[in-house]
Amino acid sequence: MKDPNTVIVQLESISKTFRTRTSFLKGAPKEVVALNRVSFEIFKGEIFGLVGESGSGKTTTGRLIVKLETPDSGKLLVDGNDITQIKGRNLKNFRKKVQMIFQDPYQSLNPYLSVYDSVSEPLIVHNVGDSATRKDRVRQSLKDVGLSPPDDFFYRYPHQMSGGQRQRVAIARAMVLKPEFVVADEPTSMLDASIAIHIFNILSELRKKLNVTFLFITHSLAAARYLCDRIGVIYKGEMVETGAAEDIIQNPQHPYTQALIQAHPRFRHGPILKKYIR
Amino acid sequence: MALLTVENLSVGYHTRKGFLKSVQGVSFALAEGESLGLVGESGCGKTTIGMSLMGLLPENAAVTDGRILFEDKDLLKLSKKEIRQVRWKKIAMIFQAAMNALNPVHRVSEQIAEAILAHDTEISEETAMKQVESLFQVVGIPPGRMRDYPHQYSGGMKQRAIIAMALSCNPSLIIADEPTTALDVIVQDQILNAIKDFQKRLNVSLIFISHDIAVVADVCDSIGIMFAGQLVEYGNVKDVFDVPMHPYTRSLLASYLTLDKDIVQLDSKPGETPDLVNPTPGCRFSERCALADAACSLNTPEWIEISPTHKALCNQFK
Amino acid sequence: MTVNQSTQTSKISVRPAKRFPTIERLKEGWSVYKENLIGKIGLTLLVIFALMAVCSFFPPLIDPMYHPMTGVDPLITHSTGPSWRHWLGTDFIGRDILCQLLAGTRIAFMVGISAAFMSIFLGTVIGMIAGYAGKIADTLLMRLADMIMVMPTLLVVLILSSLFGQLNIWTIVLLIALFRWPGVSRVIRAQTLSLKERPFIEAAKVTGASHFRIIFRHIMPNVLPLSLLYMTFRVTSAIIIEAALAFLGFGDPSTVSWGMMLQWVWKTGHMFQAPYWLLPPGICISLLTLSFYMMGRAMEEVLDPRLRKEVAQE
Repeated sequence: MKDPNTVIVQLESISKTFRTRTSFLKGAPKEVVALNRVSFEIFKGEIFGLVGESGSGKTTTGRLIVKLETPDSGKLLVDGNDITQIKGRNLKNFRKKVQMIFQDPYQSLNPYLSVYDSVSEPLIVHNVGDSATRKDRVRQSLKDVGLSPPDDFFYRYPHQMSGGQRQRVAIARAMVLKPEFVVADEPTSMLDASIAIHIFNILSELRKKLNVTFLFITHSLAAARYLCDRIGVIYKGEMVETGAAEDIIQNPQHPYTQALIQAHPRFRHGPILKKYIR
Repeated sequence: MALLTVENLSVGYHTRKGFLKSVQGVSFALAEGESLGLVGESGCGKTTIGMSLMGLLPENAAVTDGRILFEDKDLLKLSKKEIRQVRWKKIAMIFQAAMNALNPVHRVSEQIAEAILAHDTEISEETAMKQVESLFQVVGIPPGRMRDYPHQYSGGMKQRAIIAMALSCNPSLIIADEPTTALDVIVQDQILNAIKDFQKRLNVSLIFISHDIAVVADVCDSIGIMFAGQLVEYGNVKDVFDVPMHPYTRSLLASYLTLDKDIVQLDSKPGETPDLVNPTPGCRFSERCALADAACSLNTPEWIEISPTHKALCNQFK
Repeated sequence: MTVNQSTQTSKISVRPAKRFPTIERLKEGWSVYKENLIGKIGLTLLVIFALMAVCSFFPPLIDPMYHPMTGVDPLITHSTGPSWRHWLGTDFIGRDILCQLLAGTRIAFMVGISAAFMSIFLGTVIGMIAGYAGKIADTLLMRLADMIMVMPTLLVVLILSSLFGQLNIWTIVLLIALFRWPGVSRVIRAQTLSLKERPFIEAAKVTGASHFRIIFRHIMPNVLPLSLLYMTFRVTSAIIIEAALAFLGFGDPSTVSWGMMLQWVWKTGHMFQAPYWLLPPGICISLLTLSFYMMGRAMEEVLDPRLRKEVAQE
């Protein structure tokens, strides 16, 4: 399943700068360097965790890979093809393979579309099957994320569901095309801890079941450690450290990673706690 | 003697779906210089408690029962004018999105001096500025940044300024509502240290509201775990974490991801918040509880005392 | 690992799945609307006018002399006050004023709603395209909107009708629509700009949805309520413009509208002699525009939760 020899996504020296639009009076536009020559690769079948604080460029990285943004320079290879310049039919084929799960489940679903309409949309856009097969695919996808029986959710609207359910619908939408690669951008930062664990477990199950590769973007080292095979730590637009998850936690090399681990809240209470915190 | 005693507080909101019982029968006490952490997931009523203490409940909220005794006065019985005198002068609050509370067109130090002058008309502007300077020292803002505007501050610095503002009138109680939620881990750590530091140094009482159980364990002396509007476990931090009794507390601890212990696949039960318009008469956690039996969803749970400084709201341990 | 799931969700899904949430949404909106006094008054007025418009079909069937345009009471040669035969009196050649008023209601609805619908349609589509496309398309469309917005509608229609002679009522409707979309398109564009940044639009993009699909499937349902709101205000302005045109003598001479009635009063010198003739169309114009305006205000409250009052009901 995990295949350390096949690279599915490769970033080669990717840079991206944003220019803030400024008013006439403030003078020259400011430049914000979001990413500065970032290079790393993600292997087929793994969950790669990208850890960083707000403004570190981690979300930009995810948006570049799904082509919501275009890099200023560098190469971005998905399945060996450079995607920085693709258009038209190639872009559409690319979209079929690469999907994204967004941070805020309250914002990432159209309030006017039912669960069925939202989840079936990718199938309609890519002309997959007839309406009966589409219904089956949607049903299966909802089941995969633990929304069962799926038919009960078909005609629900986002405002009739809890945050956790909405995020699961968003995951079902991303998975319905059986993509090869999925970017999950802080999928649990708006959710409570117990629901977050549930979402992590769903992602982990999906990886096994559909053999999909994930880029998991998070601000929490602990979450990355729980879910990911490998971790990359990004700081101020530069990748400071990559490695196997446990290595990074146990043996951090870069001072920033060390500071992150140092600052992570931890319990300083009695031995019995071990029983409950695992 | 307790500085603050909350007795059987119940608060609800009038909504389209009916009267939402957001907080029900919550009681706790806080001594001078003590810090209490309120922990729970979103919608458990912890912010509502903070707002009722401040007298800042929105218009559609109503206190249906209980007393809030602060310095032997029932805050719920005070007139609007009286409550305004208590608010900020005696009880101050650090809000969730406090960083946006600073006015961008005035210098940070001037805004805090203004807050001091608004509550104390006796002192001169220079004395107020002096006070600001010492406050900045307490919260850890270098004196060189006194004349800066809010946009020149980072998120953590703004949060420190907000803390300085809350401290500006020498309150005896500070309510901090998720003061570090919007901050990055490293900055959060610094702010928490600043809070612990001033709390010890000024001997001010603190109510710390958070969803992060480890943060509360780090900052507070005692802890109240909240679920669906009720306090379910309450006691000394050490006691509660040594022997967590309530199944919800245990599940909170179990789903807490750490960097220290071995990774174990956690069993997950997705938590739906129970209906608070028509709450079940039984235990509200029973639907999600691993220990629950048929009686749990029928019988009202009662407090059991594990030690004089530790109690839990659960019928399973009787 | 087991995703301990089935027991949990089946408990939740006991609730019946709502198959027609659009109706649910309307019901919810209605429950807010009906608590609004202004909205209720507006709606009551509107229902009365709608009944009047429907009634306009009956009098000519009873007796040809009740035809608003061609029906002349052979016994009457000058304007008379209310009587049993003519409840609101007659005009200068003996036509029944009540029948004219009813026919005018129908015309007012026709003009108001069709002009408003067309301008809203144009404004919404142009606004969505400008907001979504951005860049050059946005600049071009919005400058065009600015240009049209600063033109005084009434004056331009007056000039056009003096150039081309008497305008047909549908031409007038079309002209009003063509001149009244820019305001709507600005609002819709602003709304689209904010929607465009929302993650669900980006999610659709990542899915591979075409621009066409994003605009009409994702953006349109979200701006439609706002368009509907603006439609009520546009109805008001369309009715007023048509009335003004007709009063000034540039209306469609083959239709009976309230503005036309006012023009006849004025032209035949009955302005201060026949209040029974002058007042009904004047009052009707005010009340009908008022009713749409009131409904718009109430709908604003339904659409904008910030305006909703959820005060303690103790």
